[in-house]
Parts: sequence; C-alpha cells; structure tokens
Amino acid sequence: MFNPTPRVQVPSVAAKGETFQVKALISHQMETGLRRDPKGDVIPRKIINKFACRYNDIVVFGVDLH
Amino acid sequence: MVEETNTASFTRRAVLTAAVAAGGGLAGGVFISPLDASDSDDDVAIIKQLTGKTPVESDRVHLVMPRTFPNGYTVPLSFEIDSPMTEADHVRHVRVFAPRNPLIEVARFYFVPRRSEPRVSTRIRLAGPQDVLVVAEMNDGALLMTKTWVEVATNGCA
Repeated sequence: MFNPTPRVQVPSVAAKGETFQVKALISHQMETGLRRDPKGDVIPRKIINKFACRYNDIVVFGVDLH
Repeated sequence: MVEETNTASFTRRAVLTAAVAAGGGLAGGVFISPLDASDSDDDVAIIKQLTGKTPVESDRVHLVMPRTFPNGYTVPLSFEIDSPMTEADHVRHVRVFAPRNPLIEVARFYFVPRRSEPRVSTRIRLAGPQDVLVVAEMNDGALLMTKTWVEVATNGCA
C-alpha cells in the first residue's frame, strides 16, 4: 500500500525558550468525494484527516481536518 | 487529543435534522432551517448544539479572512488567540465552523501550554457566502468565539 512519508525540516540548533519553525511537506493523492469514475459511481472521499507534531512524545500541535 | 475519534456526526443534514427535532419540542425554541439568513442567534445555536456549551463573543480571538473572494476552493483564513499559553490560561483547541458547508466543522486545531502558539494560517473551502465561526475552547472550559462574513463567488464544495 502506498504510504507517503512527509519531508520534515527542523533547525539543528535552537535556544531555550525560542520559538522555531518546523516545516513539513507531503505528497499525497486526495479525492474530494465529488468525482465519479467512468462507471458512474462516486469515488470516495480521501483526504488528509489528521496532522500531529510531537515533541518528545507529547503532541504539541494537532489538526483534525474533515 | 489528536487520537480521539470523532463519533458525533457533524454533517449539515444531521445537525439540521436534530435542530428541527429539538426546535419542535421547545416552545419558542430556536428553529434552524436551511433558508435562514446568517443570524448571530443561529450561529450561537449551531455551536451550542455541536459542542453542548454556549460560546461568548470575545475580542481575544482575532480572525482574518477576506470580505469577498472569487475562489471558494482556497479561501485564506488566519486566526490568532490572545493567550499567554501558561498552565493557568491557555487554549486547548480551536474549531472552525462554516454553517453553510455540507460538513459544518471544517477543522480543529489542538494546542498545548508553553509549547505551541495559538496562531494558524491556512486555506479552506466554502460552499457559498456565509459567516465563518472560530470557537476557541480554553483550559477552564470557556468557549470564546468570533465570526466574519465571507462572500465567495464559487462553490468550493461541489
């Protein structure tokens, strides 16, 4: 099964208490759930539903997308 | 947090059916129908129904969206909550609602004290001109909300 891995970019050094930027990029085919295939059936909705950023096993930022 | 499964159905049809059933039982209760214009009472009622709590309009929640936008597929949305993000005062999560979309809850963002800033910038789909509601749940359970009217020219959800 195709399992895309995200590319993640994190600075190598950060000072204590400093806010730093983490970049994440993923390539992933998605379907809106509105298209139909040649037979006429609806192609099911398939989107990225969850995003989680963990720091030492604690989720510091999470997103649920519907 | 992120691992929780979403068991409540947030489709527009489910919310409206439940609202009609609830509204019919209450004398003078709020009646949500698809033809209602975006009224602040309706918006508060929708949030109350989806979260079980009453939100309070707060200017600690800053929501920036264009007043008009031609493309309903990628409407920019930016919000920021004023909060020190300490254990005593922080944002637990923020939910974005679009009452005229087929799925009313568009997204939910989770934050933790000290480690994250409650600031998000993204793009969402809107089915038509509507109020977009942003509701922040604080650590003490209070719901702070704000809303803005967005006029999109195309339906991004069909």
